[in-house]
Amino acid sequence: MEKRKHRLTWFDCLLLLILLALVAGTCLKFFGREYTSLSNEETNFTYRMKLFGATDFVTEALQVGDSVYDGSLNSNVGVIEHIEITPAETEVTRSDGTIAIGTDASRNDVVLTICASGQEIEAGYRLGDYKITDTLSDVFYTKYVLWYGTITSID
Amino acid sequence: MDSKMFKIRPNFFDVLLIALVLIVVLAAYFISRGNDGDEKNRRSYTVELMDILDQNVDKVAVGDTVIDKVKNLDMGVVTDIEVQPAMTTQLDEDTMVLQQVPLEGYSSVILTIESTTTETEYSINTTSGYLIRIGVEVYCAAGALEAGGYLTGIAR
Repeated sequence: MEKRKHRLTWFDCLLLLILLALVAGTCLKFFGREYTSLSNEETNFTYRMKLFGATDFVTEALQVGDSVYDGSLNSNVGVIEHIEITPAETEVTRSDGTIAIGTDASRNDVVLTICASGQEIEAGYRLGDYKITDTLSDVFYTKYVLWYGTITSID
Repeated sequence: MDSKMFKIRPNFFDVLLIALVLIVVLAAYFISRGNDGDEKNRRSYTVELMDILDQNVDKVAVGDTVIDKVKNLDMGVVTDIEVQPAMTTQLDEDTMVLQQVPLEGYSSVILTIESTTTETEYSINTTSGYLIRIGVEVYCAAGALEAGGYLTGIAR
C-alpha cells in the first residue's frame, strides 16, 4: 500500500501567510494603541473648561468623577474634578434698543476643572490624537450629558 | 477528458490551516464584540417637548410608544406625563435680569420614557440604537403628538 505523504504545497504557504497577516492585524488592533502610548511620556495636568449659558438640566447632569470625551474624535479627555456654577451673564436689549450686560435667571455659566494625562506639546497637551489647547471650543460629553465648552486655562 | 484533473484533494496541512484561519477569524469577532462592554438595563429618562399648543397636550398618553422622527428609532414607552406652562424670557430692566415668564396658550410636556438600553462606559442607547444623552435635541412622535424639545434627565 502506498503511504500518503504530507507535503507543504504553495497553497499551504499562501494560507500560512493569510493566517500570519490575520494574527498580526488582530494584535495591532487590540494591542497597538497600548504599545504606542508606552513610547510617549505622559504627564498629569488640569485644565478649566467654561460652559456659557448652560441650561439647568445640563448643569445638574454634570458630576464630579465623570469621564469626559470630546465630540470630534471621541477620545477620553479627562475626569471632572470640580464644578463651579454662577448665574449666566448675557447680552440683553433694553426697551430703548440699547444693549447691556445682564443675567439670565434660567441659565448658568459653569466652569469645570478637569484632570487629565497627556503628552505636553507647545500649545498645550496631546491626549491620543486630540489636542487640548487654550481657547479651544468643541462639543464634549460624559456618559450622561452633552455640552459645548471652551477651554479657558491649562495648568 | 480525464475527470481526475478536476478533483480537489485537500491534504492534512490544508485542513489544519483552514481550521486555524477559522479559529482566528472567530476569535477576532468575539474579542471585538466583547470589547464594547455592552450591558443591558432598563432605564427611565425624561424628554421635555416645548411650546405645545394647550389644546394638543392631551394627544399623548401613558403607554404610548415614542418614536424619534429624525432616524425613525424606537425611544421607549411613556410611563409618566407632566404638563407645565411654557416659559419665555423677559428682561426686568431694573435688575437687568432675564426672568422666566409663562407663554400664554402654550405648554411644555415632560415625558418620562422607559426603555431597554445597552450601555458602555461612555454611552447609553436604546436597543433600537437611539442615543440617550442629556442636552441632545429631540424631535419625536408619541401618540398623536409630534413635537421637538430636549432630553432633560436620565435616572442614574
